[in-house]
Parts: sequence; structure tokens; C-alpha cells
Amino acid sequence: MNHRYARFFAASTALTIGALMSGPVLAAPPADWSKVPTETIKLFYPGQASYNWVRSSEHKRAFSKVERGEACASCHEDEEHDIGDEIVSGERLEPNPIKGKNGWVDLKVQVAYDGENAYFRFQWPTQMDRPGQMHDYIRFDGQKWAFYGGPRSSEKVRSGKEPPLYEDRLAMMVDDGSVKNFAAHGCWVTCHNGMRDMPDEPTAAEVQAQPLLGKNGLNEKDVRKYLPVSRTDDEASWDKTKSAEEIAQLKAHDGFVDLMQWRAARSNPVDMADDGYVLQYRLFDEGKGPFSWNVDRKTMIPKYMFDAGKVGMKSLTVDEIGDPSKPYALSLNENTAPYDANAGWKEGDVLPGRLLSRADATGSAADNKEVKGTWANSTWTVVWTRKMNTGHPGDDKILEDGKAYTFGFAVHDDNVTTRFHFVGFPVSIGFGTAGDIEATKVP
Amino acid sequence: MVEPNARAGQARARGKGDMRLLKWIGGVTGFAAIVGVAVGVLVGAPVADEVDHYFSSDAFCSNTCHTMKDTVAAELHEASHWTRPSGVRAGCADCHVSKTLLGAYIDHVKGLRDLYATFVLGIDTVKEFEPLRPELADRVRFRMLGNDSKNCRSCHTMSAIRPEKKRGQRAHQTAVEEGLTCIICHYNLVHKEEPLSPAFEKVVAGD
Repeated sequence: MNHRYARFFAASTALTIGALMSGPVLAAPPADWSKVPTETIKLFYPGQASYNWVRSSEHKRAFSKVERGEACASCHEDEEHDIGDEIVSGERLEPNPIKGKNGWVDLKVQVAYDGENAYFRFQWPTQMDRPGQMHDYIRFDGQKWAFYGGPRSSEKVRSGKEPPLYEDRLAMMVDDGSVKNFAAHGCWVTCHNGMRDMPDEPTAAEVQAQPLLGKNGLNEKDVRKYLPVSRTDDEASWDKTKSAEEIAQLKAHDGFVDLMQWRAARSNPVDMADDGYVLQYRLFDEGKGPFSWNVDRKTMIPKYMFDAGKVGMKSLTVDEIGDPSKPYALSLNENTAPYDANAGWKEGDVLPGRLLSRADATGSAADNKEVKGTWANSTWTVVWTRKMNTGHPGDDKILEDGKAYTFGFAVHDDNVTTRFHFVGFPVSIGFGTAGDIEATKVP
Repeated sequence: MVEPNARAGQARARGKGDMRLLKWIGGVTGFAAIVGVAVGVLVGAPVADEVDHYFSSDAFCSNTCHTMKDTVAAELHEASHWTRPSGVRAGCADCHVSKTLLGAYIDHVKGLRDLYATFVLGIDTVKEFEPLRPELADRVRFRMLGNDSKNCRSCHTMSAIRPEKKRGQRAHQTAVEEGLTCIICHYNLVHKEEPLSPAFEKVVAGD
């Protein structure tokens, strides 16, 4: 090597190292969360208090205030625990209470941000002394596989026939001011009679026959969250949908609410949260999220089992469910092996009915790839990194420095789904501006 | 010929006799009036009271007609106005019949229309009663609005109410400050919840 090349090589190396050392520091959550203020958001049990109910005379004198767009919190601030305790007991708005269930949970929230990401840290206590990370489990009965366990609201669990097995979740909805009344009423704008486990629930056949939601549209068999703006009547009835063209127009003009859920069983094992939105229905963003089925629901034949070479077992047994030393979720290529029907299955063997994959998650549905929850001392701590600008404005709310956004938070605790969750009144989070919570700017 | 003085004396005597007669008549009348009033008070008032008592009783109000028994009375028996652990109960009349005897009689006379509805119009089943419920509920709400929820206040003293929960405390604070009467908020107490009429909705909304 002559000197000229040697100098060039040395200079190039020095420049490369210099560039690496002086280049932008990789954005990361705050190393010390104690420097970020903590706000407590009181989440409570809402029962069947739907959009329809809050606008009805059953909501005492408040129905007219709701219709005028006055915020829930303008009357109910600091009443969350009272409301939750009353409803969860079955005194009102809950026709089928879950015995012994808590009426509320306090969610601690910390928010920070930098030029690239928003960082959230959530903490909340769980009612059960175990993390709820079992979901859609299937059990071998000696002949075939069948779903095992379920949410506490299901009859098979209420009767004691099967155990409560359903994942814990943390959900957040985000709006940038585009959705009417979301800043005042938050999640209640999305919750309606006709939805699963709500009053006036239609049959699967009725949903299938509905042009937009049914077999000629989304092909759904039940009704989930939606926005009133997607309906044609004042009551925002589940079946009075606008046309697909009108809804596409609404979506194109930011008329949806962003909805992201961290799931203890279906996303946390691969350090993710899902990514969806609410407009005419609760839908996932474009692309592929972190979870899919591990069982063909017609034949009930699993696709994967645990890789015994990696985790020391091909499956769990009923008695091992909830054992912290055992695996609880199937992560593709991490701890899985293709299902072998001749592996000597015994009655009581258990497999997760869901399959997770971080590698296969793509597109807007995979925007939340830096989310990690840990459970200790009966408390979940979830640290969540979300890009300020996900690059997918078609189904995400893009966060900007200097603006405030309305957030609605919810927690599903102790093996529940649908209305059996805890929800909070909406809060504003300001990024470089005022808000109920002001995000801390980090370098 | 009678002397003028004698005539005067006769006239005086006659006048005295007339006075005595008048006094006697007056005395008898007065006595009769006192006896009448006394008898009226001693006999009539208890009878009037008993009559009111009977027509205000739950036995009469809720058991005479099938429609009441199977609807509003059955609902009352499930309501906290009936099921207090202390045993204190509000009956039909406590909320729906005036507390003064005269007012109560006016209400009883008004109640005759229920007989008309039952026996002449033939509204004597739950099925026939239910379509009328919105109108009947509305009538009761407006009556309570018109008399400042008088019957509520015959048991409840607004200034002494101390709600247990924050919501109730705040609502009562607002009611006191804005002079809201009980029925403005408590429009679905005791009986099956019935949506408000557009007219009453306007009242509640303060429009």
C-alpha cells in the first residue's frame, strides 16, 4: 500500500468513525423515567353506558349537556371511582355483573417525546396475582383440540366449567380534533348499542345481511366500535351506515380515531402493540399485525407447537397454565415447530391458539414495534415508543411538535373483553404545548 | 181609650217580647250551630278523614284495579322508596295525593276519571295501560313541576339532604343554586323508566 492510499484509507476510516460518533443518537425512551412527570388517570367500569345512553334521559339531566358537546369531565371529574363501583356492582347499567370485580383502576401515565418518537410509560395494578397473558388456548381432549377457557363474562367461565383465560390489554385512542366531540366525550363517541355485549345486539345473520358490514362488505358477524359520523341517523344506529364512498371520503380527511392496543398475549411476547383505527368499524391498519391464528377453526388442527429443542416442551398441560417458568405464547421461528399430529398428544395438553410473528408484521399495522410490558409486584409496566410521524397518515394520527391531541385510555384487566373493561374520560396531551398532560421533551 | 203612655208601655212590652223571642231564636240557632259544628267536627271530620284515608290507601290505589296492581304498584314494591331497611315506605298517595284535606278531595274527584277509563273506556289490562304510560308519566311530571314537587318536600327537606356520593352532592348544590325543583332531576324514580316527552325534555334542558 503506498502512502497516498494509506493516507486515503486512514482519512476515510477516521471520517467514518467520526461520522458514526458524532451522528444522530438513536432515539430511545428516556433512560430515567423518574424525570418525567407522572399523571394518574382514573379508569372506571362503564358497563353499558353507550353513546345512546349518555344522550338519553336515563343519563339524568346530563343528556342535554352531552348533546351540546359539554365534556363528561365537566360534571364527573373525581367521580370515576364512585361511578365504577356503582356500575360494576350491577346497581345500574350492568345487567350481568362479574362477582368480585373491581370498579376502577388508576392508570399512571408518563409521556416524553423527541424529534422522532413519542414515548409513553404506563403502570397499573392487576386484580389477579398473575399476568393475564393466556389467550385463545386450545386443549387436547384425547380425541381432538378444542378452545379452553375464556373471558370471565362467558357462561363457561361464570359456571366454573372452564378457567378464566383472557389477555390483559392497554388501549389508547387518539384524535387530532377531526372527530366531532371526541375531545369532550372520548371513547364514548365510539361505543354504541348494538355492539357486542351491548343492548339491542343484532344476530350474526342480521349483521351479515347489512350491506357495508355483512357478507358483501367487511364480512363481519358482530358489531364493534364505530363513529357516529359513519351513520346516517341521529342515533347513529349500527345498521344505518353511510356508503362506502362517503366513508372513504371521511377517512381521507382524517375523520377517524387512531386505536392502538398493547396485548399481553397477542403482541407483548414480540415487543409490539397492534395498530388500528375506528370509523365505520374497529379495523386494523393496512398491512399485517403481530398475531394470527395458530389453529384452523374449522378442523381445529393446530399449525405450530412449541419447539421442544428450544423450550424443553412441545406443549403445556392444563396444570402448567400460568406457571411463570413455562412459555405461554408461540412466536414464529423463535420457539415454534410445525405441528406434528403424531407427537403423542395426551388429554390435557394445551397449546396457544394464536401465533405471533414480529418478522411477518408489515405496513401500517406494524407501526408499534417498540412496546414492552413487564409484570412484577402485581403491576404492569408498559413502555411504548411510537413514531410522531408513522409515515401512514391514511390510518394513523400524525403527531406534531407544538400541537395537542386528545387521548382516550382503557385497560382490560382480569380476563375480560368488550364492555367489561375500565375506561377513562378523554385527556389532552400536549407535545411542546399545553395539555392535561404536557409531554416532556427529551434530547 | 188608651193613654199614650200606656200605648208606649204596651209597645215596650211588645218590643221586649220580640227581643226575647229573637234572643230565644238566636240562642237556639246559635246552640244548634254550635251543636252542628260540634257534631260536624266530631263526626263529619273523622268521616271525611276516614273517607280520604281509604281512598288514599295503597289497598285502594294499588289493589282496586288490575292495571295498577300489575304495573306501577309492582314497580313501587321493587323501588328504594319501598325497600328501605328502616322500614319507612312511601305509599301511592305520599307522592300522588295532596297533603291537605281539600286538596286530597280534589285529587280524589279527579281520580274518578280512572274509573271512567277502566269501566267506560275498558282500559283494564296491562296491555291497554302501557301505551298510555308516556302520557300519564308526563302528566305527573308536569303536575310536580307545577307545584314545586310539593309531595316530595312533604317528606324531604332540601336543605337537610346530604347525598353520600360526590355526584349527588354536586347535583344538589346546583339545584339549590339554580332553584331547581326535585322533578327536574328525579323524573324516573320508583316506576319503570319512561323517556321524557319533548315538552318535558325542554324543561329539563332549561331551554
